[in-house]
Amino acid sequence: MDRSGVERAFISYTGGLIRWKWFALVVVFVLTALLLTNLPKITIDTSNEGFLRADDPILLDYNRFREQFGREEVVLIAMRPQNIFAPEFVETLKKFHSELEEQVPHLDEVTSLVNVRYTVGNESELLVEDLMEAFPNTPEGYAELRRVTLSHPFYKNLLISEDGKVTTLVIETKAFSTPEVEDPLSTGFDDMVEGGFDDDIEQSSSESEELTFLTDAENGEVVDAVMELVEEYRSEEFPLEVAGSPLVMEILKKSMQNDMRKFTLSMVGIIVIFLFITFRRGSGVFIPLVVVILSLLSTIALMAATGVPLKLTTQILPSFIMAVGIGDSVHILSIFYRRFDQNGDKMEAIQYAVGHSGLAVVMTSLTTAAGLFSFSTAELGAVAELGMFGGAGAIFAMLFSVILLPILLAILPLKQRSLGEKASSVEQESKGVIDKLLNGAAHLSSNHPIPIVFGALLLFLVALFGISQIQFKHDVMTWFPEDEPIRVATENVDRDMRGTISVEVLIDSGKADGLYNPTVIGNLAKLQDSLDSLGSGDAKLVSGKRSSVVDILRETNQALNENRVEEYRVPTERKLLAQEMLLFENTGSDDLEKMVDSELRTARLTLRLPWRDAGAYTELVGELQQRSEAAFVNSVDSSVDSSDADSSVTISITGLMMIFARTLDAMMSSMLESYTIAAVVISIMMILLVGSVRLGLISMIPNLLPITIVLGVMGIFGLPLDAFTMLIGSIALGLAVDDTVHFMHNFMRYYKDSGSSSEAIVHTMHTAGRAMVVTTIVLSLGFFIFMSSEMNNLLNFGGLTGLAIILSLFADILLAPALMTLIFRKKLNLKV
Amino acid sequence: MENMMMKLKKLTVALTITLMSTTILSSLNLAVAAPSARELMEAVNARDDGNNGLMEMEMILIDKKGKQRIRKLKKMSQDRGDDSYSLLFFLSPSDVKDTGFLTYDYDQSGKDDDQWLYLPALKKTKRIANDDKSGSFMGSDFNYSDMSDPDLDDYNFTLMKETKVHGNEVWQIKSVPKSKEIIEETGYRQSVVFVRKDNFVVVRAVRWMESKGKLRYLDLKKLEQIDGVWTPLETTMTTKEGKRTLHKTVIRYSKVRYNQELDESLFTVRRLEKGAN
Repeated sequence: MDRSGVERAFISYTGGLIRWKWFALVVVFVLTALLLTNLPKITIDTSNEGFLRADDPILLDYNRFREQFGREEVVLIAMRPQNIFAPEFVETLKKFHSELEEQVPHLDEVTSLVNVRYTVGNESELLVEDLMEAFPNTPEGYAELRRVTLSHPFYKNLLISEDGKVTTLVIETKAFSTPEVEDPLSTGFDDMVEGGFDDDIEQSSSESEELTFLTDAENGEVVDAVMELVEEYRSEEFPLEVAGSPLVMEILKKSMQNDMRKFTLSMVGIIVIFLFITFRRGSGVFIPLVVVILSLLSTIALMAATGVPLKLTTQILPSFIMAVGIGDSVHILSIFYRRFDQNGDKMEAIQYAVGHSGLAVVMTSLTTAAGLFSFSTAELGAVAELGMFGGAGAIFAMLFSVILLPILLAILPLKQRSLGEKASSVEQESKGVIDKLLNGAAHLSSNHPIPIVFGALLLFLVALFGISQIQFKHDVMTWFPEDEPIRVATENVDRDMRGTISVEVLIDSGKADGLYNPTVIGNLAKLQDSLDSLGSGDAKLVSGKRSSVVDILRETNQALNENRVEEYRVPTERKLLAQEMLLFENTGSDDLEKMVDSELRTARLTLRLPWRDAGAYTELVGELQQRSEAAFVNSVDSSVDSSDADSSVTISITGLMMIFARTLDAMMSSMLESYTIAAVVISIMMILLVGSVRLGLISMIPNLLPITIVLGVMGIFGLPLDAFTMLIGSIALGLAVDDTVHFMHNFMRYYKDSGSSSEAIVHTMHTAGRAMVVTTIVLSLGFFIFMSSEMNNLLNFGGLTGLAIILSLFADILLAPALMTLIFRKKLNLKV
Repeated sequence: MENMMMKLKKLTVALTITLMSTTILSSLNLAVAAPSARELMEAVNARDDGNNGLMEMEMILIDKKGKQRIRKLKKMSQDRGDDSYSLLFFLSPSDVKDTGFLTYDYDQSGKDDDQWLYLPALKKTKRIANDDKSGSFMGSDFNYSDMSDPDLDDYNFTLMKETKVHGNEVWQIKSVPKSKEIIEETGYRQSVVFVRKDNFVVVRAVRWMESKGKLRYLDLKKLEQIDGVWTPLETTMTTKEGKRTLHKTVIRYSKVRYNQELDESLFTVRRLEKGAN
């Protein structure tokens, strides 16, 4: 690479920029403003399904399921009073239930012991009514209520625990966001198609408008309303715990918003302090801050413009972009100020600074972007987005540093400072410390390169061992501190009600009214009963509750047969099956439509499972699919009706459990691919920079070693590889490479001039070295801030990434020079 | 000059008297001509909807994806004083053929309807206890409360305005339940009905369901006079949430005949168990 040619190009570019500075400023301003107008459109998405790509087949299945059956995620309120079947509790529960129905928005249904369906029949009559209405407010009534509740198979683990001490209330919200219709009367009376009155039967399906799922804001409204009432009713006599994934989603979102604000402001503070210490000038603080903040805002605006919401992974973007962007400015400015103070010619100093560091700035930004872009192909959507927009942020920072920064320098009035001006004692001391460090490193690496390299190799081997111990995990619950109420509540409900999340098995009979086939229903009943647990040994998961249309049929059949217990079974005759369903449809309960589709073709079997790390689920999915398919193998052959012969039952599995399992899978497959792509792309860039394949590849060693060590640390200390920590590799690689780029860039130049590697090393340390140390401190602090979060995932991520960054500095001031010493020692005449 | 003044005075007085009496008379006219909303609803309830009716009924259930389920029934109805009895038999689909439905709809305020369902596969009749009319009728978009006349004392009626529906002049009347119990019982928080001026038939209605955000739209597509009785031949009921249709039901009547020879014993449980013939 013709380094001096590139330098000259940068110099003349900057000259042009300075000449046209006002015009350029206006252009930059206008373009940026246009982009930033998108900012208000930004949204937040902390849902579980938000981790996946929009076109992920598992997510599409899940969406289809929600369109048919509604939202699967529910809010669970667990109550543990002294005595459930006593007037005090019952009355309070009734009031609580009714107030929830009144006040919670976007509500589909509230179910509790108050209104759960109670089917009972005698000689002449069939009754389906709300449970508590069926019993009078007398002691005998309460005793009977107790007896019925505890003995009814449907209620167990749904609304009452097995020991009868805990009862739950289930809140189901709407699946879709419903925009307010201003005047239903007028929309209804329009005789055109969109009205409430369409003039054609077939029109009803043609209104295919874009359905949006319940937004995070609407979910927040639901959670807020529920929690408000919960706080109002909570007391010693009425103890309440709230669980459920909608709540988890909302708490994550609020915590994310708090953290983002905290981190961003802290980052700004740190940057201001360091800029001031380093440059001791107003412009030295102001200009980089402008560059960095504009880069950040532009990235967020880009997300808003492309409709990508801020997610749990992208919440780190603000701190990240600021940390990354600052390096570029610091490098350019440190050269500029020194030159300007020397010769007093501002315009020349600007050109010199940009010329000198332009290539390095571009290279470091591109390598950081490459490290991040390598994740944009990740199967895990939330990580792919971080890759894309993190990379975009790095590019924005580069553009603003190379375009806006010189413009601002040219326009703002700056005072030349004499070189002899007394630096503050803090600055002197910090300079002193840094210089000592750098001198020491230069000395060590030039004179004792072999021990350094050996030491690095040793660390590498230990790290490899650590890596073998690493485990992938995806369990959002563990991100919360252990005493966080939602976490405790979830564990309690898991224990008492045997499960807080669901997996949905969809049984597609293949044709309309296929569910009238008694063989299909019979097989479904057997399957339902047999799925009381999945897996075996340590991996065993108990499912406390399975529900499907079978429950309805069993209840109805029993009620039709004088409530005889032995009649709690599904009918075996087709016409009776059809008629019992018709009967149920007439009782006023709409429970049937939640269990089967309106064609009576597909039935839904819901299994409740406890909340676990996704790894516990991934293996069980296969087993569930297999057992379900096996249950229906004979559905076709033994049917009486010949028209059934050509349809077969297909099984598909969806539900929150699948989303978790898929997230983990996608994570694991993304990681290897993305790390490899990043390593390859960055290697190529290093080769281009140093102009030699051999040197380029060797320079990757100080790049890759820090990440390897950090992964090893994770393995040794049992820190999991999750959606966050898996990003460390690419982020750290992109950032670590910056130091190596600066080192190599300067080392090559000085070696070319002096021919001595040790001189080149010392010279590099004195010029780029200081900037490298300062940016390392700023970057690592920017990540160490995350450790102030309550959330464990951010804590781990921040600490480990900060560690990686510090290790990269040492790799670049110790290992890289050591390697160069060894290489150039033998070959004094190496062509550079 | 004085003459003229006198004439002018007389003219003025005469004019004033004429004006005043015209105004009074016309306002009286108006007062007489504008009925109260309650009166209108009474007329709707009192409308002759035929006696001893025999007809075939087709019920089409359409889901949000446009998939249809078609049911064919035979219907017989008979008035017993102020009460009305009806008998429904399923003709198709075959799995539910001969399933029968007997309803005694009592006029007396507060008296719950009696309903029996006969399941031929079980050869049993069961009385369905349905004091709660908010449940759906046979899985359709019609509630039980939609199928019978409302108890007018349970509502407050307001005449909103006069407008046109399908080219006919109608009164637009708002009805709001007087208590929460009525809402829970009928499943509707309030309704707006459109009553045709010439025949007191409710040709359109919008009902706000108990579940917030859901509305039901009733629309009479075909109305004909048969044997002097105004008979809705095609009615649709659509359940919507915002602009989104959740479900739709179409009910069509055909071969409608009134004043048939319908024996009283037809409307008994015993007869129910004998089947459609």
